[in-house]
Amino acid sequence: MTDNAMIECGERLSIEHVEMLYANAEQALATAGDITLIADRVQYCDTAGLQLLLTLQKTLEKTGHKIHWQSASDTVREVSAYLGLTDALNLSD
Amino acid sequence: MASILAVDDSASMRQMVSFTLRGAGHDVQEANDGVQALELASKKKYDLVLSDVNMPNMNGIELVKELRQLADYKFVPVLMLTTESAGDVKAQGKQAGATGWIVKPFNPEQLLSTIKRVLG
Amino acid sequence: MSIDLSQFHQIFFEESFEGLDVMESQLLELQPQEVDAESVNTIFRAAHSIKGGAGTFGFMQVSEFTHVLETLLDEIRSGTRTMQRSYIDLFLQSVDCLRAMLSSIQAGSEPDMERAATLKGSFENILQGTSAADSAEQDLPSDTGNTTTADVTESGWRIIFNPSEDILQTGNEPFRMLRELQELVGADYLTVIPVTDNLPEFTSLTPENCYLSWILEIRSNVSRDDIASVFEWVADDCHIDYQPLCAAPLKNTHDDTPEIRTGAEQKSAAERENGIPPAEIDSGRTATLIPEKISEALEIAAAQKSKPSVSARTARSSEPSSIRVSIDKVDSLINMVGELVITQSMLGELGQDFDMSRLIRLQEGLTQLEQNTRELQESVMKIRMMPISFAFSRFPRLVRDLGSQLGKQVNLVMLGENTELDKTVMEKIGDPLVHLVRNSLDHGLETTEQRLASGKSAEGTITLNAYHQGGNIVIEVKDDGAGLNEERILHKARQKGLVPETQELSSEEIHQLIFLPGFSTADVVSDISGRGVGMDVVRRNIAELNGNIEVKSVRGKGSTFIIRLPLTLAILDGQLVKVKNETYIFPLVSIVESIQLQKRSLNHVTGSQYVMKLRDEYIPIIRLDEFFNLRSNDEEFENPMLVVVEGDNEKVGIVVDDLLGQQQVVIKSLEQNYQRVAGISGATILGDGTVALIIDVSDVGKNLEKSGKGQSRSEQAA
Repeated sequence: MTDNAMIECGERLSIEHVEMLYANAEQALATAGDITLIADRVQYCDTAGLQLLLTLQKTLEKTGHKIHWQSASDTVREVSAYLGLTDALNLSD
Repeated sequence: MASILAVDDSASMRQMVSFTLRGAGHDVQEANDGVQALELASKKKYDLVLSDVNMPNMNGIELVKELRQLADYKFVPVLMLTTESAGDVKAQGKQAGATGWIVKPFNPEQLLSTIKRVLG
Repeated sequence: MSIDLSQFHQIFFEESFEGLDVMESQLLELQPQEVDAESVNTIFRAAHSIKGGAGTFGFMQVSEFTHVLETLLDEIRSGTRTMQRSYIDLFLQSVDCLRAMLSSIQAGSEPDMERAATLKGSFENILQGTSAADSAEQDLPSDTGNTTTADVTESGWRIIFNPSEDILQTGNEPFRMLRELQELVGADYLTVIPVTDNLPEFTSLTPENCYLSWILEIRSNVSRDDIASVFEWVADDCHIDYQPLCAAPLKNTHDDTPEIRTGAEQKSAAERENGIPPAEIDSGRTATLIPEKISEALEIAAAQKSKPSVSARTARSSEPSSIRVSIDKVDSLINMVGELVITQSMLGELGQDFDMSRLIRLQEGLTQLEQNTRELQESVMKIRMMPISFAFSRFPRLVRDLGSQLGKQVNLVMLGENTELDKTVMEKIGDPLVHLVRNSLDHGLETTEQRLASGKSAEGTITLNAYHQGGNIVIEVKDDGAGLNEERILHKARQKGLVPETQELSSEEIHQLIFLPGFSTADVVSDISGRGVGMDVVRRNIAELNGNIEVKSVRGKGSTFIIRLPLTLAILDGQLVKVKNETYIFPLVSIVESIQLQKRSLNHVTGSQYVMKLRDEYIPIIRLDEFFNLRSNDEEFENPMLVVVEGDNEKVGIVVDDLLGQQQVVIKSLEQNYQRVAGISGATILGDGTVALIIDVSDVGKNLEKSGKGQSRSEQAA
């Protein structure tokens, strides 16, 4: 549990970069613990990006884990809210 | 603000579109046809492409198809400026990979409110 | 934000007129049997641009009218309908109609919609079933403020928004749609519930695909149309289900939002929009209805034809006229000026401390200045030069229309279309050329039967040719028709008293008779070229441009009209002559020859009238000193010169004291600066600063005629 994997989301949490993000998430998932997201630098974020994180969360849930947000930019919170995903992404706190 | 590529063979439409967009603070470049647009697009990644459908040399539908082949333009929004309200051209555009369309005639206000659907 | 669209109007008009020209020329080349897809595309594109622009800039009459012809073009383009000759005619009429409409609008007046309505009706009859009102409405911008007109629910909607898997890959973003929806209904009235059931296992996720869907609850009075507009671009490939949230089930009476319907419902809507599918049209009915309606429309349009096209031209000429100049010409001009500046500074330096030892350099400098000036002059003149294709461009249409009207098969050949001439000359030569071409078609070319009977090809050929010759442009209008009928011309001329019964004329002289005022050989005054405007008017128009016209004709082979014009009206090649102490200028082009006057070859006619026998011809003699009242008393000629000039195809000998040099002169208008003076066409300033008057040769000849020359000539001949 202490060995949390971290994912740095970069500036664009969006469809052009989901492939790279997917690869990072895959690695993080291999550590079999919670995953911490660093998303304070995110300038732009879209459905594809958030959907990837949501899939990650759903997969983690099955093993009793979850995603944590070490930080999240306003954009991330805003877009999540539009999509109604704030709660599902554990962004409400 | 966004960088936008405006493609139309009609000079008056091009001017109207770029005048409107520049007025809203966007950076606009113009192209006469698909060939010219593709050339510009291969040099720079625009945030949005607005293209007329009926143009000589390379029409708007072909342009979208070509753009979607470029790695940079796989997901960039492309809007067709079309007078066709019949679904045919819209469907063709969509099939080619266009994001959406703006039906001519449109006024500057409609143009600005429409591009909000793909920017920001 | 409000933008004044009128700033784009001028460019819209310009490109629309250009587009119409393109449509016209493409239509003329179109053969209904073998329709070239690219041509149809080009025509369609032009119509399409005009429609789009007209709609954008608020010229709804134009965009609505263009819509119907565009619809037919589109059907032809897509292959659901085949091109017919009658369609081409209809399209051509529409081009005229649009030109007139746009000209009216440009001139600030209301376009005449009657003709448009007639044509529109014809199109609609062809399109059958596509109601114009519907199709026009479709094109209007969707009015975003019409929440009250469409069905409004009391309590709102539940919408199931299930995007297609690839929605994200085309730049469509659900978050932006939901953002727009929230702006539409207000954040407090929208609940977004994501449905995540379809999310796959992480390992089988394709991250670019969309697996999410949403349930959206709207508790606000928003019309379904307005909501649908948010999903407009994705409606066809997403599943969007609308459930009214009010107690009473909502009945959707406005079925004009096909995007949000699904399945069979959508299909029927599509059919309604596009009209009956072509296969279902009763072919018997089409066959009887359409030609009737078209011919009716054609008749009406033909009756109105000449008027609107004329008004279109005049309306266009009322704008401040401008010319497009190719950048090459401007560049060469700038080069010249550069050289001129260098020469000027060189001369300036030379002048600062000049002594005779540097005389040669001064002369060199002046020579260079002269050369610079001449080149600059040429370059400036070139700015006004335009290719004659501008004047020729109307002929394909004209020949086609007249040909079919007269039932003659005509092939038009245009050569030397890039030959350049002055814009003003071009504008003025247009009408005479039209007259000549009409004349060739009407009188020159035989009917198909006659041609075949005389062993010619069924198709007659009219050739327009332009080329430069010296300082002139030569334009030929040639036909391969029957040629001038000399007997008939002579007979007619004798009948009208233009030629005395006894006088014998050479073939060439007979040919020139057709340029005499009031001469027309047509047995029936035809609709085409017999409107009382004869060749004499053509000749007069050309003479006004300091040009001349002649005809060459071979019986059975055809006729050629040859027009010679100066390249420009601003500059003239002149022959300077001296009369008493005055200098006058003859246009070089009008001079036939200059000879020493032999007093013994003069014949006295009446009063002060003389004629002279020059070879086989008697030509009237005018003393210029007398004509301009320079002679104090009846002085005798002192070693005089005779300048034989030809104006209006009449030779006149003009007596002057001496011939001076020849030079190019810049024409200054007398009318604009003073008033019109008989016998004078303009003035110029000579190198020494004095003013010289330019002789109007045909005017001098005419004044002579008034004083009884015509009569003296026949007396002499008899």
